[in-house]
Amino acid sequence: MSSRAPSPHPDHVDKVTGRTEYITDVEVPGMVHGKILRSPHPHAVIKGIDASAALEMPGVIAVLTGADVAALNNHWGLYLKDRPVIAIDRVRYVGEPVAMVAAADERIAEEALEAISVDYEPLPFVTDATEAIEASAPLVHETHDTVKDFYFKGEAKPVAGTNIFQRYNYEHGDVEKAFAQADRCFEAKYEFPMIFHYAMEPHCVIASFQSDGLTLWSCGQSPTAIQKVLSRVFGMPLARIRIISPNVGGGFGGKASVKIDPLVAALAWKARRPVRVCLSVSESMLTARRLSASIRVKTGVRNDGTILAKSVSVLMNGGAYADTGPAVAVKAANRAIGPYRIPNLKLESMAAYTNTVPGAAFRSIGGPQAVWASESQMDEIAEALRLDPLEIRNRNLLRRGEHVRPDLRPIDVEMGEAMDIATREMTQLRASDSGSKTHRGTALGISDPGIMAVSSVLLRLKIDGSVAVVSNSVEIGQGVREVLRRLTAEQLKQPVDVVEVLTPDTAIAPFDWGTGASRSSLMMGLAIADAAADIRRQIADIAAIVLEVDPQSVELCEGGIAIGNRKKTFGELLHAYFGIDSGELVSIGRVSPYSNAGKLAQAPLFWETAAGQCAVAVDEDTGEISVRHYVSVADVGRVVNRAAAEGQDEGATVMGLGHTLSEELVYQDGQPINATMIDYHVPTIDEVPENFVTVLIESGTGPGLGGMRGMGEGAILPVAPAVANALAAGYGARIRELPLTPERVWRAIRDRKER
Amino acid sequence: MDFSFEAVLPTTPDRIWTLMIDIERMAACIPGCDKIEEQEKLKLYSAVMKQKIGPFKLEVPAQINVESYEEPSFVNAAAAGKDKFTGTTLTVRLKVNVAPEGDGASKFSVNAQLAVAGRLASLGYSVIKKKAEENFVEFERRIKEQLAQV
Repeated sequence: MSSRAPSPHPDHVDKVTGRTEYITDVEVPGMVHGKILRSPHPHAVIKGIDASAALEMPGVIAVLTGADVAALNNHWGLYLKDRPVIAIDRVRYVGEPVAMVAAADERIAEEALEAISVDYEPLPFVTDATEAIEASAPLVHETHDTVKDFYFKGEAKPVAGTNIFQRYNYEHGDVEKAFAQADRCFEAKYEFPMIFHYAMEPHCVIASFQSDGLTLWSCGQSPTAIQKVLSRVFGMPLARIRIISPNVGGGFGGKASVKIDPLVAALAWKARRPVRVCLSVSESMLTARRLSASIRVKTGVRNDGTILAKSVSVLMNGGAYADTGPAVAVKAANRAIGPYRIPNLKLESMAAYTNTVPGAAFRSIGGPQAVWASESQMDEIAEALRLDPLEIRNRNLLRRGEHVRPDLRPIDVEMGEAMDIATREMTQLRASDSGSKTHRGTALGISDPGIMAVSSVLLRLKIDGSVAVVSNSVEIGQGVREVLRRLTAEQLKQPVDVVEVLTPDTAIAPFDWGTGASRSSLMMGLAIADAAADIRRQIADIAAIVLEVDPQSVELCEGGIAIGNRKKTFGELLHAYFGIDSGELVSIGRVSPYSNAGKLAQAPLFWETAAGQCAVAVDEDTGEISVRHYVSVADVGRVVNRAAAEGQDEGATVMGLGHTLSEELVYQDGQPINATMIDYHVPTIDEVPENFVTVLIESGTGPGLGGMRGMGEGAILPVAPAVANALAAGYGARIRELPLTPERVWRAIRDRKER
Repeated sequence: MDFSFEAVLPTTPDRIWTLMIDIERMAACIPGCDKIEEQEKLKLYSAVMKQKIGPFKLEVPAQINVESYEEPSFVNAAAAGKDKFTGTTLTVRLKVNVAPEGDGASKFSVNAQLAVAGRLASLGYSVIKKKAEENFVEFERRIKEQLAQV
């Protein structure tokens, strides 16, 4: 192996010096620019669109409206085929694309939008999920056209004639009987708002129809899903659709599955020119957001804190189009269980259409919503029973190997260990900061990643010993390319710097489900191991022919092979084999639910977990919370790139501080009234805790290479309840609605004092 | 956005009605109302609403349709217009009721529902709301002043 320590982020210099190429930097010959006219109405019939004045403007090449897509298979969706490529006869939320202009430059396109006149007839609208499921609510969609096994396994269960697009139920034991037998029952409702993903790079896509098919440079996290949707929309074979995924400036689920790709492709199709569409941040805010949730939790306990039963009822606001909302609703229910022994459990979840921005996957889908509710309530129970919050958790914690639910894989980590480490670290931090008045809060989160075990990778070993890794894992800033590079080097026993991870391109990279759900390092790592085993077999067979040695005796070593003390470079071996000093070996590695003797088939593939502990100070005059210290602990199995892994953990936590303290997409009168960078506040360095400790436990017990688990999402789970629990511990003020804005905190503290 | 106000005025509904259909005087009550024209008496009017909202100057040509009325008891009207520069659509549904209240007096009530859509709604909803609130307060003040003269 190389003696040179690999850089934790070899791409950082390129990023900070502006050399890294994102889609917005890509120039395609003949490319023009697209802009989108969006609906100002939450719900309306489109009575007519007059684009004649726009088309007469110099530099305008084409205008796309709903009338143009009649010839296409013009509705698509991941669970429900509910979304038109562009609004056809009706708009369902403020911001829905109604018309698009392709023009010589962005300025002309933007000006041409002003010249398009749309005649709307407003319809009654609903933006609140509770109102949306009432019988009198206006229907956002009249029918529900479900698709099965399209993206995730399974299908949605909508309710005909209502806005409910997903229902989910699960039960074990006898919850009602257990509630009747419990010493105490606690029941409360917790509210979690709509949250914008706020990737630094807004959505950006270039689409180009050429004689050999359709090519997209897409910011999407799931290139093969985009390929599939485009194939259906345009009636083209998959093989004629190519998705290239340059560096992506953050995804967080807002670019997962499929977003603006069909829209941009349709404009390119109409314009007969390559078209680039790069949204503004405000437009990205009108593209996808986290599903808001109302979660009612009832827990029955003995007086000693032992949980006897729990019921969870989730209602999610899914927005105008279902997207992956049906999966989010299921996960929100599961992730509300917590790492506890619950002998009697009932889960109910519903997601409803509303006239708001479509809900979508977001870092640990449904998880922060669920853990906000369940872990807030754990502290409420502790307080009522006069138990220490750590004690009540310890009393109910599952041990490794015990079941969260009998039908799911047993929990594969020791949450008690993580909580103990968090407590120890926080105790030290607070001792070092004894001068300030802080209050401690704890929360634990577990999630069952919805990982589809379908991945593949190509390894190409060149005659000079360099290796190309060809996969569809998208670099969204999480550092996947560096992980794949290191794992390939490890599996082939080569130095890291001979390995190149290529830009994902579906034309050359084999199928992968997508980049999300904390899956890529794990799944692609297993695929790399499979491909590397094949390379080793090929090398051994070639050595047996060329060198007349026993293939079993051939070992890989840096730059070549070793048979005992005898060494040959790859170049020497392959030159002798091919007869010329050129060539390569190619192998494919695959992962399927049947890999590893079927061990990957059971859900979840692993449990992604986090223990979070915070120490907060509150300005009682303003209600402003300052999270002074934070400790995040997770058993990730194995760390491949420590700096990047810790960065993921810290990033997830700080992102969690956003929905905890300030973030919320607000609707009034059907209008999203703060969907701008001015009015929507994400955490800055000012909100980052002064002291932040990340502890990544390497137990080696995960299903990936070297016992790794997926990571990068779990740390967001405990943040909000930990902070709310600290607030309640310090001031007796229990807030059940996020975000914990200064006003809300100030009022809660005042109300508490007045009681 | 809903706005409403009520006032008891020391004059009869008939005399209030006379003011209400005198469009010049009514226009003078509405802050920013300019170029009001009667297209068809008690049916259709046009006007231009001018407002400065934060950094934006709005100029909204609006059509005002009287949807129903009963002299001298009530008028229901709807107004809609669009500011071209900001692409903002404003619609107002207005209900004005006049009812006898005791000896020679009247209860005058106004209920308005204002909807804002378009770029300004997403950029400055709270500013618009504040401005609209101010305008309704001003409208209330001016109409009471006018009615005091009836």
